[in-house]
Amino acid sequence: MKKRERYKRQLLLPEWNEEVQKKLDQSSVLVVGAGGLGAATLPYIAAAGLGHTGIVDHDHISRSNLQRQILFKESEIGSNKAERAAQFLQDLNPDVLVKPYPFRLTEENADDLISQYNVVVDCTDSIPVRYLINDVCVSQEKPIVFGAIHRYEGQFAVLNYRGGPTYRCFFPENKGRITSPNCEEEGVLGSIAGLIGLYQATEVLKILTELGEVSTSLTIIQPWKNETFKMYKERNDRQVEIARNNSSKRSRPDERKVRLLQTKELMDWASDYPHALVVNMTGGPIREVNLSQLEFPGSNPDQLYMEDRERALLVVCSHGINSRSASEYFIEKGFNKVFHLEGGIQKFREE
Amino acid sequence: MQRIELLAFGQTEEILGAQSVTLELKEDLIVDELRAFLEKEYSRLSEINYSVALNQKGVEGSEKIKEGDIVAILPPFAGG
Repeated sequence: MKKRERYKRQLLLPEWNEEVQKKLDQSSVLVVGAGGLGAATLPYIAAAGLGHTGIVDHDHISRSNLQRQILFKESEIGSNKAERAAQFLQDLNPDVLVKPYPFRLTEENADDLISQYNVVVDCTDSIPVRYLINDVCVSQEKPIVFGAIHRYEGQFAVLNYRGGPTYRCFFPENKGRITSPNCEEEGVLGSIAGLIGLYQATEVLKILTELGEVSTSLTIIQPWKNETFKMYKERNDRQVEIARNNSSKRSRPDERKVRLLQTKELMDWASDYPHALVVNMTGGPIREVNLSQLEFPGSNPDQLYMEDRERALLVVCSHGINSRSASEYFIEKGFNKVFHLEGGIQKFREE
Repeated sequence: MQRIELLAFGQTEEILGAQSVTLELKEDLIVDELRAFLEKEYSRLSEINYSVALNQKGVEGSEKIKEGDIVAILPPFAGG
């Protein structure tokens, strides 16, 4: 009842109803960066009833942030931004879940953090982190609501949305060239950060409610000149491939090796990975491992899908020779947990 | 020769010194040649990363530029 009252004004909107509100309540979004963009995006998505918001920011509030990061108060200088922003949202709307992550998004934690959310909002102030977010979201097939600002202008786009272009499609990486400086060095008008942040909040709501037209083109707004520019781009397979390769190189370096499995370890292994897939190089369908009767149905590796990449794979063949090179192939393809049965089916049968 | 209007944003605008410039270019110029031309005229452009759009469509290096096309160069912004 209280909820109905809270969302009354948006429930009155054409197309928006209890169903839509419920969809929003069951969604989760990770906002990377609680600076100028995040300060605008965050309160609007939480106020609208987005069920679960994660906020990543390692930084602490300084006086020079307050000109645009309007979630924060003078008295909060020195506190962590993610934690303060989370408190602000929780006070604004106690019905939603808000989780602060008071640390940097890095190559080590990005896959795990992002895997817990439906959508990522890129509110960072660093181009390398923007490429990192892109690469993780491409490999996990998640949309990114991207925003960035420069002095009196800003840009935003929804990336990697239903086969649309990615960040790398718009801006292929060129490591030989310096990347644009950030607000610290170049200056920025606070209201521009606010405008782009609010576009991002609106795009998040469009994606999650499945209402409205999601903006997959790159929009550049120049409110100071009263101008707007759009750039359309098709998804570029080569750029998508780069993102995927970066992700498979990055993810969990200790797991990114083929692990050898001895025949006698097989029963223990199967109870550790009850949903593992068994790939039998001698042919036939791929199946889940069967604990009661450890048999090896033959299988065709082409039946493996990208969404299976988080599952454990056991690769077997008759003598454990072909399966060894096949295991390397699956690592290349981005599978993280690849096991190879030493000695193959023959040795298993003998023992 | 053909006449092209070039739009620039963010840092590229600051390097060109104007939001838009009109360029006299040879016929059938491709995007990679345009980049080389611009980076010779405005050497600081060769230090930054930017994309090229023809009539609002992001294009690769081998696309041809025609008289009357609106060409834009866009860098990724960093600030957040």
